[in-house]
Amino acid sequence: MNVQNPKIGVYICHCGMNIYPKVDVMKVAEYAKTLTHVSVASEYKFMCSNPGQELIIEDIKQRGLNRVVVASCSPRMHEPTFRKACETAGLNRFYFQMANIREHSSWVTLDSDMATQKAMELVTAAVKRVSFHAPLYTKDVPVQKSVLIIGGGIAGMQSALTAADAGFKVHLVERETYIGGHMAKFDKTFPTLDCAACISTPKTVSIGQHQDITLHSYSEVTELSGFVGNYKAVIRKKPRYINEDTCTGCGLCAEKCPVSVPDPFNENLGNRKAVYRSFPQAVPLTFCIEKKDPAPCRISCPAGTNVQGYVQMVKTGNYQQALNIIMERLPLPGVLGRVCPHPCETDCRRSLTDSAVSIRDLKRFAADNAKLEDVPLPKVEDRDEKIAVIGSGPAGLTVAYYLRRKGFKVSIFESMEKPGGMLRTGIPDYRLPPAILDAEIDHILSTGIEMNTGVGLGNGITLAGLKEQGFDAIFLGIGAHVPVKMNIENEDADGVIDAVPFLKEENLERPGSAKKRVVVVGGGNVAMDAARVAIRSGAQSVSIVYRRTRNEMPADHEEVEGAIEEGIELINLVGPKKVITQDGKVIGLECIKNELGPADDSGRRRPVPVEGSEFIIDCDMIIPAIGQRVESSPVLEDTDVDLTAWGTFNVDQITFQTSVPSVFAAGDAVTGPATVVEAVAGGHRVVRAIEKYLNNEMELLEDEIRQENKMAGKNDFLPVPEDVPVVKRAKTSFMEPSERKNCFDEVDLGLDEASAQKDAEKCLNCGLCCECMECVNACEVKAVDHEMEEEIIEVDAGAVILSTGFKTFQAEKLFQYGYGIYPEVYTSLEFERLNNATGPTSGSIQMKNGKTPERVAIVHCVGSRDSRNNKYCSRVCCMYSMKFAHLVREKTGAEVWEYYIDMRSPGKLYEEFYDRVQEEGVHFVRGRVAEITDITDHPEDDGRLTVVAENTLTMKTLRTPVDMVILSVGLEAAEGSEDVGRMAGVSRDKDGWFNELHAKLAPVSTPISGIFLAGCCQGPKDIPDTVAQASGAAGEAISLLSKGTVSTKAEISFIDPELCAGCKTCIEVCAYSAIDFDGSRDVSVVNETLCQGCGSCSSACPASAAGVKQFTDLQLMNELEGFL
Amino acid sequence: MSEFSPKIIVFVCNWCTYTAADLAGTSRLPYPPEVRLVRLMCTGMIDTKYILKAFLDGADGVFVGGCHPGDCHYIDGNLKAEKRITGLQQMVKNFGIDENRLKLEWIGASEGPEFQKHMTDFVAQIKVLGPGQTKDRMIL
Amino acid sequence: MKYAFFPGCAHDTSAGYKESLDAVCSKLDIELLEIPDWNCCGATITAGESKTSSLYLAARSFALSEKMGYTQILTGCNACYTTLKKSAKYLSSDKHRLEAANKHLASEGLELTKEITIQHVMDIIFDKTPKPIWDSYKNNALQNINIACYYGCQYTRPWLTGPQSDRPEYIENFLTGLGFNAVNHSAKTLCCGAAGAMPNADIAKKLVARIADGVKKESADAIVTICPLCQLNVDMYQTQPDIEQIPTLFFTQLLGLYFKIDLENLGLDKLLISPEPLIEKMQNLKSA
Repeated sequence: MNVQNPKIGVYICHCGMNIYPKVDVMKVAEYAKTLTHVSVASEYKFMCSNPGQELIIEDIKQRGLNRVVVASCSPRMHEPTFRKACETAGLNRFYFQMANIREHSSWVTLDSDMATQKAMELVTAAVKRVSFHAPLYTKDVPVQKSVLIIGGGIAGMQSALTAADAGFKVHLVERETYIGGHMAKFDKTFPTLDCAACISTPKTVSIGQHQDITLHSYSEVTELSGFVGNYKAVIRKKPRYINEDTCTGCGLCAEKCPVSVPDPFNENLGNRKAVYRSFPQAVPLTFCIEKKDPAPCRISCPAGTNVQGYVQMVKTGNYQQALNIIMERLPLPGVLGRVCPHPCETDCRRSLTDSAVSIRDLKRFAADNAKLEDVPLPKVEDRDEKIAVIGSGPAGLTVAYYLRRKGFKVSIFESMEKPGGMLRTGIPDYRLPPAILDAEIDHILSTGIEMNTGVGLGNGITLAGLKEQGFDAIFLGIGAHVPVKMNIENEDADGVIDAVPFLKEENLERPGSAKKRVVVVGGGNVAMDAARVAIRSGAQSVSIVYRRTRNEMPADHEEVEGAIEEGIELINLVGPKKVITQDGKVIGLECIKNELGPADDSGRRRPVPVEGSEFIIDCDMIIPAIGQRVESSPVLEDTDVDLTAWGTFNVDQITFQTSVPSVFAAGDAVTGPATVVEAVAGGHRVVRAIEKYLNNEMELLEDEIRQENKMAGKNDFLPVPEDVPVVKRAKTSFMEPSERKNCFDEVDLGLDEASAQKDAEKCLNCGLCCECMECVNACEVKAVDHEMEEEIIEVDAGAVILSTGFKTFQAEKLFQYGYGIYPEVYTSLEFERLNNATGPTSGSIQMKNGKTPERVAIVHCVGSRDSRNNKYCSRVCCMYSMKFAHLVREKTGAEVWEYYIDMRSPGKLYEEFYDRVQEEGVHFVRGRVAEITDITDHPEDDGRLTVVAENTLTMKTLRTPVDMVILSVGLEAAEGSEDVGRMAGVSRDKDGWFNELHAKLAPVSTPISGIFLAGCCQGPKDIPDTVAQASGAAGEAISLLSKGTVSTKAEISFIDPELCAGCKTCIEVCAYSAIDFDGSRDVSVVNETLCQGCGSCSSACPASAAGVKQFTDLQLMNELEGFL
Repeated sequence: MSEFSPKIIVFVCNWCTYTAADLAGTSRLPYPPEVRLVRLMCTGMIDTKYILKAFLDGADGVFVGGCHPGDCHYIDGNLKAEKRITGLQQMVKNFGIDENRLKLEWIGASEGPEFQKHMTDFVAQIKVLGPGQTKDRMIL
Repeated sequence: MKYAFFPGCAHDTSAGYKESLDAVCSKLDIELLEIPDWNCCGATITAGESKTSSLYLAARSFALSEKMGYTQILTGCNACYTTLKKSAKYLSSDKHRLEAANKHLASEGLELTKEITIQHVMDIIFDKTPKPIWDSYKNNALQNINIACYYGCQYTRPWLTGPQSDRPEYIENFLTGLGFNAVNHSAKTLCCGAAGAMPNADIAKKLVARIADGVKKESADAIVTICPLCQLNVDMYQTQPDIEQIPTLFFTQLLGLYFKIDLENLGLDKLLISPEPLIEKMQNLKSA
């Protein structure tokens, strides 16, 4: 056939009365005849009808037309129809062009002549364009015989089963931990009132068992690419922390779990555990552990102790497990339970509502009430490497204990007669009884650590010596024991003794060396200790001299308090100037008054001496406590270890190695005087470093730590509930100041069991799962795995079905209904749970106070048919409201009032159900409820709610007192459907529902071929409609895929190699990487399977080499000329 | 002489704005008859020469309608169009064409009423600007 | 700051609104310039048949205000507030109405040319006063004073700008900001019955009972109102038997107490339900 000189047939459609008479189709036809190349032009009532198409086919055959133009409706509607007709007549389908004179002319133009005029121009343009059309050919490509279904509600399940039974592989993706969607929450279904579970569980079960269905629960599709027949999806599977293959669903883990949180499945009417299964019949039956970020207390603990974990264990009275958890990170629980400055409590989120949990006291309580010897040790396989730990303070003990637990041979060298370092010499016994310290050190040693006391650097051992003895690594934990001098006159007079030696003496020998009138210089904990020890060892008066004010004091608040209670005097804003002596003995301390100047680097305001404000404090003993430094000389004797400017050991911040690779250091020796828990923290870093060092994996360490820092601090915690009761913080009891100041007995007597558990109750479980590992211990099949990580799965699918469902309207938005304000106002979903046998009340309809309601109001159209919210009718509410009415009558006999605007009960047996409910004596009021208030008209109704509404049939306003209100909330597009829509390229209507291809003729297809819709994601519908549509969607998918091939798009890009200059601009702009560069010819080439025909390349091509078939420059230019 | 009836060319993408136009039709939302739609697969396909051609052949106004950012059926074709059009708006001034005669708007598939409004407003705007002189100049 | 002020018919005769408002304003350097020769806002006729005549009434006061150089008008009465606001909206949006009104005004040489904005005097006092001024009187012990805020039925009508809710929190947020404890209750926007007080007293009584009842639940020390009509009704009907009795003040009187302004300058003696318990409680606060 000769396409050089076009013979065009033009056909104008009346579309019944839709185009004609508004458009004078005869006139248009007559006009069309006058156009160049047009050999036939006629009009007909329905061009899309068979006779209409016959007309075209005949003309092509008889008159040898080689181009066809149809002026009728939108090409989105009937282009395929007419193209097919051309094909039947043996003409290439692309020799066809359509002029949309209905949607774009007759329906939108008021004036008839104008409409006709416009129609003629549209036809002209089409005629001009079609002359330049060329034949295009598609090719068939094989399809993936599998279907991806997004959303596992009743719709998704139905589609899955239909497709799978037809022999297609199905990937069913559900973001919840269970399938069944909203239906799984229902108790009964209207109008037949069969039990929702009874009819849906068979489906869920067969999904679980079907060999061709792969269920991806607790997963989300994050990417969808490819094209019809060959889609690729990326699925993100969230970790359940419980192995789906081994979990038997026995539920022992949940029984043991101490954390209980509001249960979303029960609409937060009840609670569930951190390890949970939403309901007994859930598929899959696997339990799931929900975790948030590690709780703030755990993050702020320098040693990374699992605080939430042991607090929960104290709550449940499992003190041994509490201790076990503590011992994972703290080798000295009793010690830290007493002396830790507890940064954890500062960050405790409970303080947002009342006061922080008394974490330290709980730690001590656990330590005091569980047995160290029962703390389980990991199975250690002994290793040959030997490690020397020098110094048995907190740092040394930590290093020794945890390295030993890893199997290394550890020997500790302690220069003093007894181990413990500063814990023993620095911290007074009234704060830390030696018995506690001894017990905990003994336990540490009992794990097989060799302890050599009385041996230290400078007396007995040297670093070089230790190396010769074959120690593979050496740890320096020698602390900071050398007092810092005040640098004032007569500092070394008799009667001036530094805090460190003073405390050491008193702690070890307790000679009662304090004189009558003692002055302590300093504001830290050491100063407080010195002062309080001085009182106990016989001083009559003790004063503390500090150069700033009490607010700047570094000492713990409770220590300062304790000191004051014991009659110690604080002299603030005062600095020492000179020690006054009389024949070599101290008789007083000359001081100068300070005032606060600008802040220094520490952020505290700098004290500035006031000229001439000197004064003298009479005293016979002065105890400076202004700091300590490290005694490094013995180390340096035979080994050259770098020091910092402050004389501490200079270590690598990651590896904690000194300048000598095999020598590590931590604790005060590195940080300078600091807290016990910081020393422990340093110890842990060293343990890790030494292990890596001995495994020759040092380089891994850096990455690991960088990773961890990245992970930390997303601050995604369990939200603080609104109704937290205010609970007073548990206080430990103290010994009376009067008696305690004369002895060294422990001052703080700790918590009693009741108040400890009560305080632990306060924990908000910020991290949700507290990782107490009770579930791990409880699980008989060892299915729990707290290390589980999320999986990324890629699947291929020939077709995709979206069944993402709905969410319900937020009732809070209609403030006048008092939802969230009055406890007895429920949403329909809440009522479903309330009425459900597996719900919080096991199916008994009762108020929050446990009573059965006597009158219940049901309010229709909440959020629906409401111009301020959703204009549309949600279609299901009338029916489920009547279901509720029936159930309330049946279960409670209560009076039921239904407030409706119009009753919508279309559907098989629906109207009959309406009749039945009326017969059951339910009151129906036609009128939208105005408000629901707790203000009643009659005192006897106090405590009830009043429903105010106008009965529009009787024209009367009603004020009805009721006990319970159910809001029949409407349906809205599901959370996240916007993202799904964008991912799949399916547009959403103004209400957020997915757009179907055609409202009537293609209700389950989308404009994207190969992607289908099922259920409420396309618009509100009830279960029967949903199931029907779901089967339909599956059917469409099956019919698409069973042929085995799909034909590729013909309207794709091409690049004319003659014109292409090889600039590669097109390759840059192509969003589908569908253009390759052919180096041999230096031209770009289109990959036809990948190209989507968007034309970015054609508009970008500077040489006009690229174009899109069926949208070529020539065709468009001529279309324009037709218009102009 | 009757009121000036401008020639308006409207380039629309198949997925959003053409659908919106169809929706305006099915919901019988009238708008001025001067509007002529040219259907493309994507606004990213629009070559500047089409727009210039329209002006040179005597269009009084050119309107481009595409998907809202993020909704483009071809990922980001609409954004490519936006770059191109805004550039062109500067350029046409040099040809003596008022840049207000060239307009770009995002009109989503469900926005029939918006389509009607944009068409009405744009035609009104062009009527205010009066006939474009391009064609006559070209004849000279 | 100077503002044009539209007192409305109930202002001067109300139980201490005028006194307390003046006292508070002078404390805050707010000067209220009464619109000379202002007339009825038109509320009563709006309720009745003739909307247009009510529009003219408003237009006249607007014109007078424009004449004195102010296009923003303050009022302390909810009825005036809504009526004037409604009228301003009509006049600015409908030029025919404006022309019609101006025809009438022409007879006395007045004309309304500018767009008038109406604000409740409360909005100005709350929003325009610098925080430090309040804070200098702040006292944590105030949290023992339980205040029930009562907005009346007109202030929060949906078509008006401002807090559109049956449970507004505008005044509450402000008072809590000062340190008071504003109790939450369900009667905030119920009708006080003023409109029908004269013809059907029994209904009015019922309505007030409802408000008192709603407030009682929250053991409030006082009800605070922002409208002379509300105040009058709620105060008056509480004197009737078997209705809860809670002192019902103007917000300006409470602010007066907050600022420790001399009681005689607050007109508290005019209240029917004695505010004594409240005053005592406030005076015996030990500042924390």
